[in-house]
Amino acid sequence: MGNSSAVIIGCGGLGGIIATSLVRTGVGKVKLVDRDIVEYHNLHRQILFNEEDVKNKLPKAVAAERNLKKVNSSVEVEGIVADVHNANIESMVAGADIIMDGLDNLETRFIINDASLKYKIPWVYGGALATSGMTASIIPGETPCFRCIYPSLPSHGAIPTCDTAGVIGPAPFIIGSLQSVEAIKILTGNKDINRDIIAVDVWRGNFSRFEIAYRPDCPACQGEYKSSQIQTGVRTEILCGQNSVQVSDPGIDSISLIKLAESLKPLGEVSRKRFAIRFITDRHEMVIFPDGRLILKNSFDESLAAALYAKYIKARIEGLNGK
Amino acid sequence: MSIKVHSEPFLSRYTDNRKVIEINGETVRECLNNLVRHFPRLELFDKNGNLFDYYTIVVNSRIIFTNELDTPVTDGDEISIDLMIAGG
Repeated sequence: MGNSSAVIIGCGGLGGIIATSLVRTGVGKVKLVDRDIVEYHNLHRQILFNEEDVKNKLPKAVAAERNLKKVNSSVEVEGIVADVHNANIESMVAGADIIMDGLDNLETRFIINDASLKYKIPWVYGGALATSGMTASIIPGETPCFRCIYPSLPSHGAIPTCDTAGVIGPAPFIIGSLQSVEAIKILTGNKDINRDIIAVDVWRGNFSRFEIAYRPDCPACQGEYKSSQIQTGVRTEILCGQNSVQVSDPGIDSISLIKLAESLKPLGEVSRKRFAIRFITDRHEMVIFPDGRLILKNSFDESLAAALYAKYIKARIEGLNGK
Repeated sequence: MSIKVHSEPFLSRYTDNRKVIEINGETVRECLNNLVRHFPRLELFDKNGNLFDYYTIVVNSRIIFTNELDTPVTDGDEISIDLMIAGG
């Protein structure tokens, strides 16, 4: 275990349990990737964080790294504040022996599935919603993949989300724990891995197993990675359970928060932390990260978020970056 | 044939909070269609009659694909309807 490396994508309810488990188990290197900052409404189910992290407005990846380093100093823990998309997935999973799913959205899971098959890295899917959850282990060349189970992305709003259905804390606790067991088995070369979907209803105390079969027309299993078609330009996304909208632009790698804060000062209230800028103008509250992402707080309006990004951020970033 | 259909917890809000429903049908598709007729708020099929991709249909613990919906069922078979779970 000490020589193995895990990347955990998403450090919320599931990711927190997985990270805690793998760091305490002594996995040699644990990389944590998350795009978000810690907020009060996370604390009921996200065990890596506390009220101090909320007050300090820390990115989850930063808070997670800090807190986990105190748990087991022999583990190399690295927190990365980033949104995972198909332009950066390769660098995120490079060198990993396993990819752990701590996500809150399906788009990135399709991207992870393709990366897993392409680079032959096992990944462990987990999802939690309301009082339910499910997990499956995807081992390239040995098991059916995520697209064998779910062949396509549902349309926006078709399925319930954390916003519409909520998540009871114990659901990700149970699913994250099951995912962690799978990680331990996979990293130690144990062949007794889960080859089914395990579905759990924590409210009723029901555990079910469903056999998964290879889908004959699965493009991913045949080496056709359709997640590359997932939107790569400026994109907006309602963040699960956050009352916030994220705007991201894979065309922008990094920005100078110092310079951006200076250029925004004439336009509104600007406060700069080491990891982000908080910018309030015309009653719109935005948080801008060093990778160029913007989160519009207290809104579900994706059009508004995109417009604010274009108006206040994109042109400035391109100007500062000399584009 | 009398088939037991188990609905995912979140979906039971569309089935009068019933988690297990006895339904008649000769095939999986017929059972699901009869279920939707009883509980019209449970939208399993699009307007063309295709099952939405975000459901998984499980027959006796095995996930079946959409091209297997016409599989015959017999007394005592159990069907589960599960929903893609995206949260975390």
